[in-house]
Amino acid sequence: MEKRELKIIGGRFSRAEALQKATGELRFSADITFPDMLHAKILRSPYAHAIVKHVDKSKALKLKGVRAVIMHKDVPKIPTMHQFLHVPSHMFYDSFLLEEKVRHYGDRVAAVAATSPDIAEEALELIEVEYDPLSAVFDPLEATRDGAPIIHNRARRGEKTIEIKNNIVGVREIEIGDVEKGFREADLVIENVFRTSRPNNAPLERTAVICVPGPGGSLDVYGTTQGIHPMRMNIASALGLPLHKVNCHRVYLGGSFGAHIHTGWIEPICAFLSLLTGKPVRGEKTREEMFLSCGRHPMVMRLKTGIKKDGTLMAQYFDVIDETGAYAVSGESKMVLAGGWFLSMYKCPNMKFTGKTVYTNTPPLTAMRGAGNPQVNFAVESQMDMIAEELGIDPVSLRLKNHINTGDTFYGQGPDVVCVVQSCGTEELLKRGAEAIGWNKRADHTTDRPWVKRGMGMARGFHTSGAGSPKPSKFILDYSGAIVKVNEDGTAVLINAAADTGGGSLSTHAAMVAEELGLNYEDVVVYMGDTNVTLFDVPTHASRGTYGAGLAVKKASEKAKQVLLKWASEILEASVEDLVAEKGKIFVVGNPDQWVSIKEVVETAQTSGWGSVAGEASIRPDACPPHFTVCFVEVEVDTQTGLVKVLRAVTGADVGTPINLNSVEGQIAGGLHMGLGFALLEDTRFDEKTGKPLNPNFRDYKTLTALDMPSIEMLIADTFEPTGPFGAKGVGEGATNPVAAAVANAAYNAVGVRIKDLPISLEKILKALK
Amino acid sequence: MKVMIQLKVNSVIYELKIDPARTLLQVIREDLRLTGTKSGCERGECGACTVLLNGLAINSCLLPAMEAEGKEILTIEGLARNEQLHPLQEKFIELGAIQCGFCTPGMILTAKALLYRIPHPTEGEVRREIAGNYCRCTGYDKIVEAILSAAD
Repeated sequence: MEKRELKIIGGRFSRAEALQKATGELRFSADITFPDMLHAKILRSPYAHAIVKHVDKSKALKLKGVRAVIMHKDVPKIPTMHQFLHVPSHMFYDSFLLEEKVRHYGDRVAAVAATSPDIAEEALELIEVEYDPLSAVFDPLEATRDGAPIIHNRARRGEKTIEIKNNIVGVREIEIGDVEKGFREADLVIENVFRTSRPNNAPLERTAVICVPGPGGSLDVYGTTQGIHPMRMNIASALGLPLHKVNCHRVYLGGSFGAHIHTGWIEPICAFLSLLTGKPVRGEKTREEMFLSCGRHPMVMRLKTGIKKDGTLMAQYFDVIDETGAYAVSGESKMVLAGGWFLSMYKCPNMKFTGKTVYTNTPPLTAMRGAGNPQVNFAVESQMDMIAEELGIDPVSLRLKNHINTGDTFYGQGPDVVCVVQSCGTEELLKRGAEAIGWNKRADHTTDRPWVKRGMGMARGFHTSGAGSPKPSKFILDYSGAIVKVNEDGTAVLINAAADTGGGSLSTHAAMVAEELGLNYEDVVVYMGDTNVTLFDVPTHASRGTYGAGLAVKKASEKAKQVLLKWASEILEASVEDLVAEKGKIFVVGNPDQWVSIKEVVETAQTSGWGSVAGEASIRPDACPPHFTVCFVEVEVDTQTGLVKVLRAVTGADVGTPINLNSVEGQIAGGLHMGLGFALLEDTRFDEKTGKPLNPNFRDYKTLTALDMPSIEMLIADTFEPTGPFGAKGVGEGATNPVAAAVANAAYNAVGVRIKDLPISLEKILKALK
Repeated sequence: MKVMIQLKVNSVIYELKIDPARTLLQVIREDLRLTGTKSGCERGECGACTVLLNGLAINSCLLPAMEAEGKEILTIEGLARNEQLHPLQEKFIELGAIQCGFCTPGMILTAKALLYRIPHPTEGEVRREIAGNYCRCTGYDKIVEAILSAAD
């Protein structure tokens, strides 16, 4: 795509739905109700690992208002899938709607539908369950040892049954060049083990779903999902229904960050209860249930780097043990992705990656902003600073020397999704970031309190924009569709299925339609739609909303515009090449008096029987351009309390063409916030003996509040992505990825203490200082 | 065992027969169907359910509805007057302080209570006031900017 002058894109505009959000008018999934609606609740296991020997439903069924009680014997014996990111032959199945063997505290034992949430809750207490407790394992390293409790015996990948041994979901090994030779030729070899924690996505909106039965065994579903088409496939598959019987409606999400990339279990359970009772059934997770159903994979990462005295990387070996919890909702993909992120960090001729994904008796983990990348980045970028110090090279210079650049290979989704980098703002961002933070003052650690030390740190990173590649991937699907229709009044409607998780993708898409068709931004109607009317789209994930889904929107708009121009050329008696569309009108170039309104073109086409003005496009993107990011922070470390306080952050992103600056900055600042939480606070903890969660609420699970946030300076690099819609790439995840390492590096700069396991808690700093 | 109560919400008086255990949040969302007030945690920890009670910001998920009798309750639906948006709503929209929007109603009402007490707050005062309102999307940056801008 060529660079061109843009009218709307690149500016600041309000979200199409912002007014509804500001007045409380917008309905999220939990706000949607139907007459005669029933409420579902799930009975959850008090054991981390047990066989469900017997379930007595009789007392619960007698309670007034209870309409259905179900357990594992009542639900289809169909292994459920969770997402539709993978092609069918790679879909991973390791669970049923309700289990005969429960595998974590809070696992699904039974479910109730009743006329009120209180009655449903009361009914749960009346269900009598006899458990046969099994020994459990909570540590990923212990889980792979011989003799460890066996969590799963087998699972399914596509149609193929796979045997699970030693709780290992999958392994992967990749080698480029010859790492042993590379280490021999290096002047310095450095090796460290890094560990990351287990933060929860914690979107403010809790998962909610309402399933409404219709004629002929059909179902309408309104729910929190990052993809209505994947949700439809998941529900239909779990219940053994023909796909077309399920119609999922698009609803705005109250945040997600990966929590709804997969369809969990509450959705098909409500769908099943709805078909069973013939009534609409609504389910909404409690905040504790949110903590029991998603989170970032903790990783144990061993990184060995060989380097020349001048800072040239010779060899890197990275080993990952990736914990997925009791179910692997995306198989071993987070580990495989981690391999790709590792390979894409720095230029190095010899690289090796080994990884395994491991089950434990803890709640299932999912995608969470960065999909393995924040973990890898923490290890690689911490180690880069350690190398810089050993060699006496400035950390920024070391990165400038080695970072991936245009023309280099990028592994956008593990080693199977590969493209060549065509735009890269890393150098610009590193230089501007260093300038903005005052990098040359980082040797000064003094503050007005002698026990408080000042420090500066930085890290760089990236994330992909979608999962496209020149050759279709064998394991992951990247696909979007869009329909653009022009109305008789000269406005346009965008009909697509891409979820807006809060990042503003729908307004971004509306701006693309307006820009392409020459309409005012306000004249594009965003239609929520459902799976019956929209074209297939994968979930909004992998920072693909602007890029992948946007490419389909752009293409559909182009097609609608071709129709418009063709008919305008007949009306204006001018050739198509001489026409431009602007502000709802089509002009003849160089003759501002010769024009026809888009409204008139559509009306004339109808009265003349020429046809409708519409365009449809489906796209499988053939690239996954990385958006590059940097993060510089200034911290104060209190040597008496161990508190690391981030005072200032300079955070930058290379997003190609920014579509809406408000949204881009929102993603950068929000990404920083989540990255700081990962660095300093956010972790879910479990009782070591019982596996019971210790902090499944916002009192005990801490995130940074408005008071804890540093002052933020945001940088946007001046780049253009040739494969992107209007030159755009993603931004949402890249902004998070380098933050934790930047904080760890700053804490080290301040007090000389290197924390290699997240979060960087007060206790760890104090212990290390002693 | 239900009781009759009278609630004045957004200047409208409602007569309701409710279970005395019901919270103000439940009554607002489920009985009055004013779903602009959001439910994030049901434990008074996230601030999404903030409403104004006689001008003070409270977590409606913690307050029994009965205790709101005789008080002026303002929810997000009652903030705009005669189609005219409140300056806080205008600034939140204009400055991009709304992302997913789930925290927005509670955030705006918390800010309104602040501006009533302190018409021209400092940035520190704004940050302190909204520290009980969680936002997972924005990093708070544009929210603080919007509140300060609405106070101008």
